[in-house]
Amino acid sequence: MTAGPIAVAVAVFALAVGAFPIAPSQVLSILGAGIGLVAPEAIDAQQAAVLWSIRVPRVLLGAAVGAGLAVAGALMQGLFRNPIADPGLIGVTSGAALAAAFVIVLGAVFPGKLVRELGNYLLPFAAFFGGALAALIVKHVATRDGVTSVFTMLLAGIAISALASAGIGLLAYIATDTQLRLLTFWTLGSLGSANWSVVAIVGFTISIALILSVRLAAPLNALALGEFEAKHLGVDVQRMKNIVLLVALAAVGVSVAFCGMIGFIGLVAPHCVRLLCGPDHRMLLPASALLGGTLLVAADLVARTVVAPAELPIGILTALLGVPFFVVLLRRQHGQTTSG
Amino acid sequence: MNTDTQILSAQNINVIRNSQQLIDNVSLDIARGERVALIGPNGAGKSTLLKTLTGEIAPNHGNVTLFGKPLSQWRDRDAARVRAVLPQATMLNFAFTVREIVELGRFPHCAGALTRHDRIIVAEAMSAVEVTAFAERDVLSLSGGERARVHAARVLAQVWDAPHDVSPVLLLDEPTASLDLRHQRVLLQAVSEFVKRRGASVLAVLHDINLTAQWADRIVWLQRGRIVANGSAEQTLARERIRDVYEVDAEIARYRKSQAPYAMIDLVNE
Repeated sequence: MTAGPIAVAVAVFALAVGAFPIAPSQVLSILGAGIGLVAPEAIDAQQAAVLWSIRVPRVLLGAAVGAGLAVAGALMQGLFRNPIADPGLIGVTSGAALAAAFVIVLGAVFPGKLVRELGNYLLPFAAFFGGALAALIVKHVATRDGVTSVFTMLLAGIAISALASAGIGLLAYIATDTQLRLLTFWTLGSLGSANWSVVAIVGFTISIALILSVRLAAPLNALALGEFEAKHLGVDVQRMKNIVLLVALAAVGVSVAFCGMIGFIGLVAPHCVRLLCGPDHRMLLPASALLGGTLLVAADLVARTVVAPAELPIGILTALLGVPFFVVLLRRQHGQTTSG
Repeated sequence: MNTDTQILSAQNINVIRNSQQLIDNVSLDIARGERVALIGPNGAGKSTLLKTLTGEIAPNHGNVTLFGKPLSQWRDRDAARVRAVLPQATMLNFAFTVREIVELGRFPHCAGALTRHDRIIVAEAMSAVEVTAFAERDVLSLSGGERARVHAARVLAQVWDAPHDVSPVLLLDEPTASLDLRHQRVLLQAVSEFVKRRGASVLAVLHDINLTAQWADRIVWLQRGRIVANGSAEQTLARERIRDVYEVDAEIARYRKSQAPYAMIDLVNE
């Protein structure tokens, strides 16, 4: 297993590189001082300040969001029994985007007191609730007599996403230039909101999601055979669907809320893991989390250094990397179904 | 669990879908240690009846009991420990290995991690239907017949060691459909072996009337959703019945070895 050391190396490198470079050895010393292993005199106070207040939260946020999106992707692919399912399929992303657009363009309609109280959190909270609402509508539409049909859910997800983009279009039409620019940047995603409070909220939510996902691994393997086959193997399929949707909703919702739309991690990470380690969810879920986190930290490293001192939206990078990959994946799957 | 009660029992089952009567007042009991074959032409309702017996389809009228308890009162996990179901086809999109698929059969017994005992059962079930040779191959790379045997091994592994006071139940939908001659024999013998060893009860949808006549203790003939005959090959395999049910002419003869009846379908003319 070389994945762990690679992840650590990427993280240390991401902590070292930036507008204010810090040598990797210094990074380790500062981290060591933080937990009392290195004498505080041995480190540079300014470097320590940059590292602790800017870089560490950013790397942690990237790791958490990448892990959350990758696990949500693996869960969705397991639920839909299809390797090209995306975590945004159930409407979370588009619902969140509509809510975010609403706040950006029509923020003035919110009571001033609410805006002052929530401050920078108004948009993330609205986006999270928008995403959750969209996903719950999708689930409700697809559920009859207590049974949720994943096929109907897929179609309902497409419908709700179309509706949301119509709403976003309308809001973009009436937006001012500044609002439009804000909205565009939001939809391209960024880890720029990173600070310790954000890391605490996102990290907590995604940790819970990851812990819950561990118990879904074995039932998801059974589900790969089909819903009735899983039932005949003793899986309470409806209960499992509910938990999978809840976990994916929480992980994707909180990621989109604070970091905007970051595509393709949820698709690419689980697929790479399947190629390397096979489709067993007991391996797939934790390994996807590790790979997703590593990929997003690496992508963010490029995003904030390649056009420094400016920052490239991270969604551009994940899409640039992800789309070619996705096409190769489609071609391969097509080849398999036609030859099999 | 009481073994004196009926193992699997259906009373007055009616299934109506899209105003079509698919199953018409069917009652069926399967006893401990009995091998029952369900035969009939395409569209007679064989799979529908089998799915009603597994609980996949809820009948519009009538009820199904497993060990005397209505299916609806069974928890999935409890039912899965004593009853396994082999569907006609299994659609898989992920490249699991053969061994991983067969190991899934042990899911009802262990929450994820297999014990040594589970691994032994998996190995035995794989060897019973001859899939051991390609145990580490990816299932998606196998032929249809090889895949069918993998799922048969999974289903056998599932109830291989059901608790000793329980006779497990196997419900098999066309288990031999894509198998070559040798493996039709291997599979049916493996099932018979299992029935003998565990006092298991089996209901299998089959198409080959002669294989059925040799293998089954009882043949249930289904036509347009109704049971039109129910008995041993000796009692039910007749020229008139084959003409009634399948609308083909056949000649009945007997094997020299066992004196069991068999039917030769007349292809030449009316």
